[in-house]
This record gives sequence, structure tokens and C-alpha cells, in this order.
Amino acid sequence: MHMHKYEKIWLIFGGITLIVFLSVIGVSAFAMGHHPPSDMTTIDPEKVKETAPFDDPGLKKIGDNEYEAVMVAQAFMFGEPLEVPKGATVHFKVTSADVVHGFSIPGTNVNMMITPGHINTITHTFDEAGEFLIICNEYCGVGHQAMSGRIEVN
Amino acid sequence: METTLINRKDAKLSLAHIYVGFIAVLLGGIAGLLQTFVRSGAITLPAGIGYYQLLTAHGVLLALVFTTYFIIGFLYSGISKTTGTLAEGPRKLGWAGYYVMTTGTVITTIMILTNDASVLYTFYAPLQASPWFYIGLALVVIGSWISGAGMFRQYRNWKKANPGQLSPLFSFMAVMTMLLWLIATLGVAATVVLQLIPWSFGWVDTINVLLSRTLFWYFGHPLVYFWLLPAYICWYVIIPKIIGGKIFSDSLARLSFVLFLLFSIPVGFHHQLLESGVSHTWKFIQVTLTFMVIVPSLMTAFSLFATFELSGRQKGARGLFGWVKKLPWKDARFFAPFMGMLIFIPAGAGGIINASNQLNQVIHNTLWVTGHFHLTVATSVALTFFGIAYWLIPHLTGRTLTKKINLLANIQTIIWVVGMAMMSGAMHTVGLLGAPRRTAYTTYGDYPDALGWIPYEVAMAVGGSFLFIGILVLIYIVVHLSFFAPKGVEAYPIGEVADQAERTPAILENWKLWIGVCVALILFAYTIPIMEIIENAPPGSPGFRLW
Amino acid sequence: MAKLDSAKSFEAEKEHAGKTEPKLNGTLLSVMLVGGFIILSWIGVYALYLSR
Ligand code: HEM
Ligand SMILES: [Cu+2]
Ligand SMILES: [Cu+2]
Repeated sequence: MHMHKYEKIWLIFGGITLIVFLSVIGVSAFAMGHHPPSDMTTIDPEKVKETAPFDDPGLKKIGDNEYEAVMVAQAFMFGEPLEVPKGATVHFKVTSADVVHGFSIPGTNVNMMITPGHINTITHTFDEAGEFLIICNEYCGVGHQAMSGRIEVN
Repeated sequence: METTLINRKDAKLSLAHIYVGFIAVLLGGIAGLLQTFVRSGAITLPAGIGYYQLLTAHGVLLALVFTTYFIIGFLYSGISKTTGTLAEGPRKLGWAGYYVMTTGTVITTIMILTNDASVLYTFYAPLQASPWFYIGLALVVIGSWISGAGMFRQYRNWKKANPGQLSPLFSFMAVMTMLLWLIATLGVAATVVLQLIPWSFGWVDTINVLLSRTLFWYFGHPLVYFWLLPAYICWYVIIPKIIGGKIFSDSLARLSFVLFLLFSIPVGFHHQLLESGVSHTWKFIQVTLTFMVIVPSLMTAFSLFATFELSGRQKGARGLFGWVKKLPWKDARFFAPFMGMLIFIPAGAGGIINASNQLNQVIHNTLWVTGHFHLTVATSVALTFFGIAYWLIPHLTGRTLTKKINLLANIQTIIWVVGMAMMSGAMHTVGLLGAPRRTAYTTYGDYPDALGWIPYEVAMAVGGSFLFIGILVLIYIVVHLSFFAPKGVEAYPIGEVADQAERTPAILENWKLWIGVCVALILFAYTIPIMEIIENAPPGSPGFRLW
Repeated sequence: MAKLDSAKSFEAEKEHAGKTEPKLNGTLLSVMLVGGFIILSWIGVYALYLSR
């Protein structure tokens, strides 16, 4: 099949660009651990409140300024506000007690789906003080626009 | 050649589809306008209508009903034009498909109106709508299969009558579009018929949520190519004729459609990048396959610019960009699709960002995404479809596109582009700030960041108002061209291939080969992850009605 | 419509196409601008990702 010389140049240029994009995100994901959230752990969605660790949700200190935040997303709340010191690294561990929810903290890369039957995890270090908002960004019902939580960093 | 009208019976079939499509645009547009007003806090909805009920109607009417009806109407007309009057069989299948789809559309619409299906047009389980909502959707899909079968039969008849000959480019592309649709809709049909309907009737208690989402997105990405390919048909086959040029290359056009078939299906995980239960590796494999489907769009960009430049140079244009001046800017049949092509540049750039694995964390489920597909489907595709309607409707009704209506159509295009630049621009920006999509008016208890989103939401409402005026102008044009424009013959523009373009290799029309490769790629990309999803499945979810 | 005539005219066409490639400088520049736009927007969002 004949192709104009310029079209070959363009497709080679485009192809290389795409390969560079893929390499950057691939190396960042697989070599530096910046994967999008993909937890493989499952849970019985009808027994969330009886299953550890979700039977006792909240903030747990697990290291030097390092915390695990266990949360249950359900229509239409995320649970009690959290309070952590500045510079804290927080590992969020979240599941849903009913439908699909979203979990995002605007202004950060914290953004993941919470599907019932599955646990999802994401880690963020809060380098700046202030109040952060957790919002549900997946439609979950009539009160979806009210579904939010707070994190106080001080 | 293009001065003869297509068969009147075929014209009726096409028109029936196109009318339903434009009624959906009007109703969906009203919903869209109201949404922008609610989100910015300007109004609250009366009479107990819910924001999410409205949004479900908007998504279903515009993304599913408008697109599917217009596409089938357009493809049938072009097949009749390029392969000759439809045979009895294909025409009957076309009507059968139309009635099945319309029955489904009516059932679905009633369920949305009675507030029994405020689950949005993606109907993610375990939100549970009335079973009739899913049955209606299933009928729409089944109807479209019947219509597709009609097109396949007409194409086969032509091949039999013309042994060894290359099929007309339009018919090849139409068959490719419907084939892509057939393979893609198997996924959504599976989740609707095997999971959602039994579960919503209560025949089974629970549903595998992740499996249902995966089957949905197996369909959800090729769905956007089902919208895009008919627009590409216009860009590849129709536009060259309108600008007085030639199709740059028949073989490259066919090759790009083959690549779309191969690579637009095994990529659905790029909509599920942020969810549990799918491993990093399989996500990244599908991200890589997603990047493959960018290549045919790069080819298309080159072909289109080349068509413009060649025809401009033939008309005596000089210099690097002299050909731009030779384009028929005042011809609405060109101007509307051209603006669609132009908008596809930011639309495509946004799409590459969305699919870039962890970059998805920046934009997922924010208004950026809504901004993105209002560029792709609601502008690139929609403006191209409007541009097609400006000559197709009069061609089918035996009327003509007058100078006055042509001018009005150009004004419509400008209103649309301006309104969309405002609405989509604001959506993209506020999305980067983190504002969620599919969310009614909220300030999250006057949280400062959320208050900062309001001005953008006001900009969305201003843009939305432009767009709504655009829809009113459009509907006026459609009604005029259907019933009031002067009688006459409006041409059906079908481009011819450039002289220097070389012979098309027969392999491009080897359907068995391409379907085989397509199925192999799908099996590669999905077998292991779906087996994992089923083997590691948690106990299923009961249904919820949280609206 | 592309021709499926004889192999002879195919050869002739091929030669013709090979010798006089049409002038497409504007096309090349246009697509390169498109490519540049794609690269810049991608880098923009990647930078945002890194900064968050
Ligand atoms: C008057 C013109 C239009 C306006 C004002 C408009 C406005 C909107 C708004 C405000 C949203 C939802 C925002 C949110 O997530 O809360 C939306 C969603 C959407 N729009 Fe439009 N739109 C228009 C035309 C179109 C067209 C022509 C199409 C497609 C052909 C379209 C397809 C969609 C889809 C698929 C959604 C997503 C629904 C969902 O998230 O469930 N829109 N539109
Ligand atoms: Cu929600
Ligand atoms: Cu996609």
C-alpha cells in the first residue's frame, strides 16, 4: 500500500510520541509504584460492619507519622472527620456497604472507585496544613451531592 | 450521478429514523439546559423532578437514542445510494429494527418519567431500576441488530451481483460500523439479559457488580467509536465531494476502519482504571491497546488535511496555507462538519490524557470528563450529523437547501461552537480543580474550594443557554427542510478517489480475517481478567433504590 | 471508485504515484501542529499529576 512520504513522517512521529507517553506512565507505575488504585481484596458487601477492619472504622497510627484510615462509604456519608498532623502519610482503606461510590480529595491525586464487595486502597502524604474535603464522585442516589467527609491537617 | 434521488421507499425508512433522532435532541436539550441551571444554583426543579432523573433522560436521549437512530438512518440512505435501491429483505429488516427499537425507547422513556429508573444512562449495579427499563434498553439493542442484519444482507447481495469488485467505500464503512456495533453490544446484552433483568425481577437475589461493570465497559468504549465512525464516513467520503476535491486514498480510508474494528473493543479497562479487582498488569495492557486505536485517528487527520490541500492546490492555491482560502466556508454542508473536525483536536488530546493510566486519577469522574465528551460526541459527532442532515433531509424529502437556510445553518454552527467552548471549557477547568460530575447543586457545607467552583458552573449555564438556542435553531431548520423548503433535488454528495491513489488491496475486504483478529484480540485482553473476576468474586450485591 | 482493472494499469499508476508525489507541505505542518498541541496538553496534566 502506497503512503505519501509526509504521512510516513507523521505516523512515525505520532507513533514515537505514543510510545514515549506509554513509557513514562509505565515506568512511573511499574518501577516507581505510582499505580492507579487496584486492590484485589474482597469482602462480603452485606457483612461489612461485622468484618475486620471495618467493624472498627477510623484512624489508626501504624508508624512514624503514618496512619491507616479505615472507612466505610455508604449512602450518603464517609464517617467521622479525621485529624492528622502535617506531613502525615495516610493509607486509606475503604469499602462500600451499599452501592458504588467514589472517593476523591480535590486538589490531590486521591481518586478511586469504591465498589461493593471490594476493598480499595490509596496512599497520600499531607504536606500542607488545612482542611481537606473527601467527596463521593460517583452517582449513588438522591443524596449523592451531599456525600462528603473532612480531614483536618494541622 | 448525484442528482438522482434515492428510492422513495428507502428515503422513508431513513427519514423515520432521523426524525426520532431529532425529537430526542430537542427533549434532551431541554434537560441539558435545566441541568446547567440546577448545578449553578440558579433554579431548583419544580414538581418533584429530580436532578438525576433529568440527567438519566439527558444521557439516554442524547447518547443512546439520538446517535443510534441518526446513524442507522444515515447508513441506510448511503447504502441505498451506493449499492442501489434496497432489496425487499433488507428494507423489511430496516423497518422491523425500527419498530423494535422504538418500542424499547418508549418503554425506557416511560420508566425514566415515572422515576423508576434514575440510574443514569450507564445503569451501574447495584442501583436497581425497574426491570422494564432494562427490557426497553435490550429491545433498542436487539432492534439495532435487526437493522444491522438488513445492511449486511444488502451488502452481500451487492457483492454477489458484482463478483471480484471492490465494494463502494461508503457501504464498506457502513458495514464496518455495524459490525463493530454488533460485536460490542454483545457485552452489554450479556449483562442486561443474564444479570440485570433476572436480578431486577427478583429471580436471583444478588449480582456480581464488577462483572457487570466490566461487561458494560467492554461495550462502553466501542460505543464511542460507533458514534464516531459515521462522522468519519462523512469526513472521508462526503466532504471531499462537497469541497470539489477527491478522496485522498481509498485504501488508507479502509485500513483506518479496519484498525478501528480491531482496537476499539479490547480496551474497556481504561474506564475502570481506578477500581479494585482488576490487576495493574491487565489495566496497563488495555491502556497500551487503547493507544493503538489512536493510530487510525492520526491517519484520518493526515488524510483530511491532504484532501483539503490537494483540492485547494488544484484550484490554484499557493504557499503553505493558501488552500485554506479555497475551502467553501459559506457552505453549511462543509462548515458544520469542518468545525466538528477542528473540535476533534482538543477532544482527542483530552482522550489520550484520560486513557493514560494513573493520569486518570487527576480527571476521573470530574467535570473534565463531561467536558471531554461534550467535545467528542456532542460537538465533533453532533455537528457532523447536523451538517449531514442539512443535505440529507432535503434529499430524502425531495426539497432543497435554500441560501437562507444555509445561512441559518452556519449561524447554528457558530452558536454551537461558541456555547460549547464556554460550557466545555468551564467543565474542563473546574474538573481539574476536582469538581465532580453527575452531581446536583452543592457547596459541601460552604467548603471554600467548592464555593470556588460556582463561577465555572455559572459559565456552564451561560454556554448551555447558547447551546439550547442552537438546538432551537436546529429544530427550526429540520422542520423547514422536512415540510416547507421548496421542492427540488438536493444532491447526495459521494466523493470519488483521487487519480493518483493506487489500487486497493483486496485483503482489506477480507471480513473473515478481520473478524478473526478482532475476536483473538478480545479473547487476549479479556479472558484472564474475566476468569479472575468470576473466580475471586465476593458474595454478590442485593439491589438498592436510593432515589 | 478505486480501479481493479488490469495489473498493467496498476503498475502504471504505481509509477505515476511514485514519481510525482503531490505537494503536501501545508498538511505536514498542520498535523505537526496538532501533534504539538497533544504533547503540550499531555505534559500539562502530567505536571499537575506530579505536583499533587
Ligand atoms: C443544550 C445542549 C446541552 C447541554 C446544555 C448539556 C449539558 C449537560 C450537563 C450540564 C451535563 C451533566 C453534568 C453533570 O455531570 O452533572 C450533561 C451530561 C451529559 N451530556 Fe449533555 N448537554 C447538551 C447536549 C448534549 C449532547 C448533544 C449530547 C450527546 C450527543 C450530550 C451528552 C451528554 C451525556 C452522555 C452526558 C452524561 C450523562 C451522565 O453523566 O450520566 N449532551 N450535559
Ligand atoms: Cu455518591
Ligand atoms: Cu473509552
